[in-house]
Amino acid sequence: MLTSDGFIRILNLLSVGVLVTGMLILWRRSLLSAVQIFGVQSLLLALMAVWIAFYTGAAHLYLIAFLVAAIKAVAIPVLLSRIIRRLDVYTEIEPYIGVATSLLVGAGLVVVAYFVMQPVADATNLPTHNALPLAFAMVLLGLFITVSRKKAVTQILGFLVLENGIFMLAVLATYGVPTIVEIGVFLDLFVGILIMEVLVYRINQTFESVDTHVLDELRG
Amino acid sequence: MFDATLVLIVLVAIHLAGAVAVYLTRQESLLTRQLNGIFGIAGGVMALILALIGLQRNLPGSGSTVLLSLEGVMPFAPLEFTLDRLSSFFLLLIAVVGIPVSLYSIDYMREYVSHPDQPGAHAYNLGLFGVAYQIFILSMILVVLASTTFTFLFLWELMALASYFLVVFEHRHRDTQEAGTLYLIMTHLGFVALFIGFMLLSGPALVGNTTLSFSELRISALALPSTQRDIVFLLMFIGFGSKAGMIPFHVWLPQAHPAAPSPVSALMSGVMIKLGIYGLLRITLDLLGGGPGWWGGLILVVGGASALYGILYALVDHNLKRLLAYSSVENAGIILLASGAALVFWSAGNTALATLALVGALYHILNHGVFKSLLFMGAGAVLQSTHTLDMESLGGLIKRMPWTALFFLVGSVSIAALPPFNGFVGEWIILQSLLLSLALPSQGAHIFLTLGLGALALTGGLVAAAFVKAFGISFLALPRSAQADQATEAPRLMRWAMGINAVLCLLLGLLATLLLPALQGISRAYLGPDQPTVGLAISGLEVRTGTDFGSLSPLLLGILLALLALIALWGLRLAGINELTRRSMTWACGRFTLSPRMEYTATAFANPLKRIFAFLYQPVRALTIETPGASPHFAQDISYRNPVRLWFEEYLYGPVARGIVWLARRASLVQHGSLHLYLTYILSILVILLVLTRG
Repeated sequence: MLTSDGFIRILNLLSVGVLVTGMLILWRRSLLSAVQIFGVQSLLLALMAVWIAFYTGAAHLYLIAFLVAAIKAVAIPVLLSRIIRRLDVYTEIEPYIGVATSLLVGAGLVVVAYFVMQPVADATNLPTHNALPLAFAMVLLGLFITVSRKKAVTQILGFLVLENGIFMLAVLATYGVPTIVEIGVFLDLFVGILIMEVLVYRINQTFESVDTHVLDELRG
Repeated sequence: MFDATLVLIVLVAIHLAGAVAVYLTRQESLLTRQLNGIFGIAGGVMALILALIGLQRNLPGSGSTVLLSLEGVMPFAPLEFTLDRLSSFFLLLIAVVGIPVSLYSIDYMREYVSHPDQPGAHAYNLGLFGVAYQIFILSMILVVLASTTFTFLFLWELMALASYFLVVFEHRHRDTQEAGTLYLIMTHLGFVALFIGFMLLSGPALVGNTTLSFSELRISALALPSTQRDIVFLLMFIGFGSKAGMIPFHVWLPQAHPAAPSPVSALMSGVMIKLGIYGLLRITLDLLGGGPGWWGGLILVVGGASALYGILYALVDHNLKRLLAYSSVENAGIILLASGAALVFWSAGNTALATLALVGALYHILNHGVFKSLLFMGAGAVLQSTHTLDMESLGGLIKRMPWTALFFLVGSVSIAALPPFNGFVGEWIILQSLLLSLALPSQGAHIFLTLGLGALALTGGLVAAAFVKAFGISFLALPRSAQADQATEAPRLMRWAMGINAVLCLLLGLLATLLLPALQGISRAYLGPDQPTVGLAISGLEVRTGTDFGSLSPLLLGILLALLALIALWGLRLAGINELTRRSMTWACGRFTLSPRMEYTATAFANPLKRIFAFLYQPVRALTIETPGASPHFAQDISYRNPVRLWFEEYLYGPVARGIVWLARRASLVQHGSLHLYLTYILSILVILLVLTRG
């Protein structure tokens, strides 16, 4: 059995790893590699779940970790890569906010997350409390990705990052929500991604582009 | 005697049953039209009975009795209806105009049933028309009886909505849609003013009180500070004035009246715009109980300006119904002018003159209702027969539609205030009150009242010119188009309806002395007994104003005129002219054929006046002559356009509308339709809220 101190160190390391992957998604313009980084992030989350399950003995987290690895680290990246290849859209050519600025804003959002979550983190005596702000930062980063990128695929990715943030928060703060809820969320997510895939094809058909800013034309 | 409450209940039941019956029978167009007309007439008769009960009642003060108080119909406030002298008079107006118009609509509305031989014509839903028609008349009747703030505002809005649906009945025409939208906007602007006005009028009584009956308002209004009373007056003036069609809120009238089916135009112009005057009188005379002199002065000035503006634009408009609509602006102006004068006299303490002016205003309200609905019905008959209202393509209708022509002529003579018809008596009384105004001590009042007198006199002359044009160009000479050539006389019920109104025009002129005492009673109920001298005295067949100032006997005058006509005929006979008609060729400058294109046109008729008032019209003259050859003397095509400037539309509503569009453009930067922008809002709001609520 590891000491509590060792558990926290490994946990913090994994959390920082998740954050770094989030920043990497902001940095990379290549859609394929962004999807791969998302896969890595999901894998890190799965590891984190396993680590917490191992330490706390919450057996259901193993199942959750397996689902995360299977759906978020494998199935969804494969689906998204297929969309990218089929649509022949490989790069986020001109995001609304440039890469350098994006990274700065991302850093700012992390600061905001720390600022906002500090009282929460202080109030608990969970061994995981240091990582809580990082989970919240992922939520904000995910939202920021959807805001600042034009391609529909990247926006889906932003949504997924946001989802990862929520999942991470749940795992860290309460060692996972009840299994049935978590499975429901996965089902939701998976179906949501499938629908988004169909929608992206439709947008591409209609506008010959997957830039969502062309949807402006829809207003009356 | 009838029980007034029972009559009211029967009246409401008739109109509601009418709405249901008309809707259920909408597939059978003839039955629908007949039912609509019969229920309209039955309701009108009930309103007439109610009006006569109210006018006969010899009670002190305003003679008001609560007829009906309905709890629980509306969730939060009772509906309450009260009959008093002022509402009785307006009930009389609604009944007198409503009955013939309902009769007229039976034959007129067959216009909207599609004919198998006219495949292009669309059928319209007469069932919906009937429902809106019944509700419209019912709401007008109830609005003058309403005696709580909530009841009044509720019915006022119902009336506006019902009339909107009637205006847009021919909804397939784009013009109609636009006219309807403009009407809806203007009437709701007015409603906002009324709403705020009533809330301010309630003052402290508003708190925790949903009933706000008029009797409570009368008491609370006295306790209000004078600036608040002034603001209430101004808001009510705007709100009711926009319904009455006073400038600058008249813009909906010339659009909505031509767009609506003719019976609706007749009702709106004959009755509905008068309810604006009703509201203004109810507020100023009754609820506020009079005010400073400038209230009346303002009404007088705006009324005089409306009268002049309305008739000047009627003169240069060649659409028959739009001409009548502008003339309604003018008549509303005359009524406002007289009401304003009455308020000025009242605030100066001269109730004798105030009564005189108010009697004139009330009588003109009734008269205008009768002759303007007659004229609109006549225009409707022309429209039904020729399918055009453009006077430049009419003409020669007197041979083809002799009855319609006669009735339209009676209406025109009445509106031009010529004896022995009704328009003359009303305007004579108003003029008398203004002429007597020198009895007032204040110099300022003299100036305004004298200007009003001038405006009224000028208006009178211009009205005559406008209706010489309307009748002469439309009905006389040769037809200017094939449609006018093939016109046929109006159907029987339409002739009857117009005939009733034409006879009423004559009777209200000749027998004015029978009705004037009732109007005097109404005026005195609010203004108090005459002082310092007598304003209006009615003895037998004679009407006297002031102390030995003016005197008129309409019946004797009528007989005298008839005698004069007989003498003139007799004189012609003596001079050896036996034939009344003499047939000969009109001289055409040496040409042998006479074509309708040589006729005097409406444009040409109006042109001298257009030049005189060029400073107002600012006409734009566009003349283009196309000559195919080298010689300029052989023109192939000449087109001449000379539109006038619509001041209020151009300089008031135009900039306001552009300003609103500009603001909307600015606002659309926020509401842009961009997905990213909306997501950014979510993100920034989330971050801001989180940061703010940290702790």
